[in-house]
Amino acid sequence: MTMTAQVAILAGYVVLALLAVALGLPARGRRPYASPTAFVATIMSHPAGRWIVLLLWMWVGWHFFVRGSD
Amino acid sequence: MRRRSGLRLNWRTLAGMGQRAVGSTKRPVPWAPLALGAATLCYVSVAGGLSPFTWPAMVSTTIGGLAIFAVAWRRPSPSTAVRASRSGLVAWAGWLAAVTGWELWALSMHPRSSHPTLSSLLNNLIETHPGRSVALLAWLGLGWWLARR
Repeated sequence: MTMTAQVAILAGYVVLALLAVALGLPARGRRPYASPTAFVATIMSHPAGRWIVLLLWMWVGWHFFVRGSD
Repeated sequence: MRRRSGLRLNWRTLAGMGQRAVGSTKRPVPWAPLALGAATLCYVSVAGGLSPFTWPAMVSTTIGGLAIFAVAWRRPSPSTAVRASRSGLVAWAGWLAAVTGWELWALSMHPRSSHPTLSSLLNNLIETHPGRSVALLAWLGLGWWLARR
């Protein structure tokens, strides 16, 4: 049961990673407006969005390098 | 009263002329980026050896974060990069929601060994000093990229 759960969760991450590749690949050249960079640029174009993204980035660093995780 | 015209020469102008005359065929060395790169490598090699839950780790991470925040503060102008279309926004927001949902679902389950989260998977990679230094470099690189958007 636990092995099945582990495999299912890892498979979920793999599917999500493949989905990101599938979403990002057509954006190269032909559709720059659908790229992840354009998505980040859109959020960062708003002052509040810019600082929220930077705070999220800071949280990621805190999470991995200061607090650690289980 | 007549105003004096012509070149205002001082020691800086003369020094610059001398440098141009001596090294006119050489490209100037980009000292600032080189110094920044060297300082960053020193930082990640030292900070990568610090253990979580310690004051040195907290101080070093805060220093790295504040440095990136300072870069972002000095660059307040909005980005001129390509903006996402509505479909692009919806697609990536949906993907982000799916990743967050999957991560939170895994986080709610126990034991962690059989219900791994992205954090627990990445933690295995950053347990060692080199792995942690590389992760710190990637984190700073991402922050630098975001701060200059």
